[in-house]
Amino acid sequence: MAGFNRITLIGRPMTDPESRSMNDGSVMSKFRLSVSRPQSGADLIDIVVWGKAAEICRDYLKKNNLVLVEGRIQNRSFDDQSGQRRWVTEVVANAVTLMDKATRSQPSTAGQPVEMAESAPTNLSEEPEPMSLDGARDKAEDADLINELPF
Amino acid sequence: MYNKVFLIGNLTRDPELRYTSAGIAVAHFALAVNRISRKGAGEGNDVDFINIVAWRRLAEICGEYLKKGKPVAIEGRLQIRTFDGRDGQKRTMAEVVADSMQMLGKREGGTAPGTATEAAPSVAEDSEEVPF
Repeated sequence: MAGFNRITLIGRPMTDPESRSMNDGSVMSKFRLSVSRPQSGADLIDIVVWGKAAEICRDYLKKNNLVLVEGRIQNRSFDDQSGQRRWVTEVVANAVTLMDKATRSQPSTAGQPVEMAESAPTNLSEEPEPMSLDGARDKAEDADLINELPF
Repeated sequence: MYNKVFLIGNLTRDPELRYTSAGIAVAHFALAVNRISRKGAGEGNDVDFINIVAWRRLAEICGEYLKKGKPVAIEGRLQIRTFDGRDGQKRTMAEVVADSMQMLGKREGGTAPGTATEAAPSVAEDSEEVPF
């Protein structure tokens, strides 16, 4: 039976993406995405991107940017230094969409006001502790929302 | 934030239904999800085995009706759990926490629920009884 395997995530990369060019010229980009849970805490999910979407990650995606990732769940095994077999689960993304307001370093896609660049949530706490991250993020998003109201 | 997974695959084993010390039902199983590859089936590693966990009423429904090999659709979210391995090292494990489950394929008896969700369990889908 043909399987179906789709995942959609919105989160923030823990670090800048790590990108590599392959021998055939294709680009691979990797990062770990922090996706907060409904109540508290967060899931740290490894993302792998290939091709054009990887170039976008390499060129524009930065730590803590809000990003939409669409792809599939994949299991992969490898042998670690001690020769033991390890399994990793990662999301292979086929589409990556930057959801922050456009800044000067990002492409200004249609309909996104560029003058909002300074209010983008860039100075988030770097602590991995999810609660404080959430708080800072919510405040930043609220501020954005208020700025967008036309009255 | 947003975390949604949709899977269709076959159970690799019968679900394992247990109860926590607080009496909450939890079911564990795994799905074999075939990859759609251009090369065609049978080449290389083209199946992903994805662990699923279901809670409460949904866990009981899964424990009762799901069997090894059965095709099933699962909707949920991807969760990464950390735990200490036998060698004392930190390990992470990914699993899909199911919100709803839909049995696919033919029904054996007349009583099995077609769909089930954690919020509204045992929604029977009696398509045979539709009078037109």
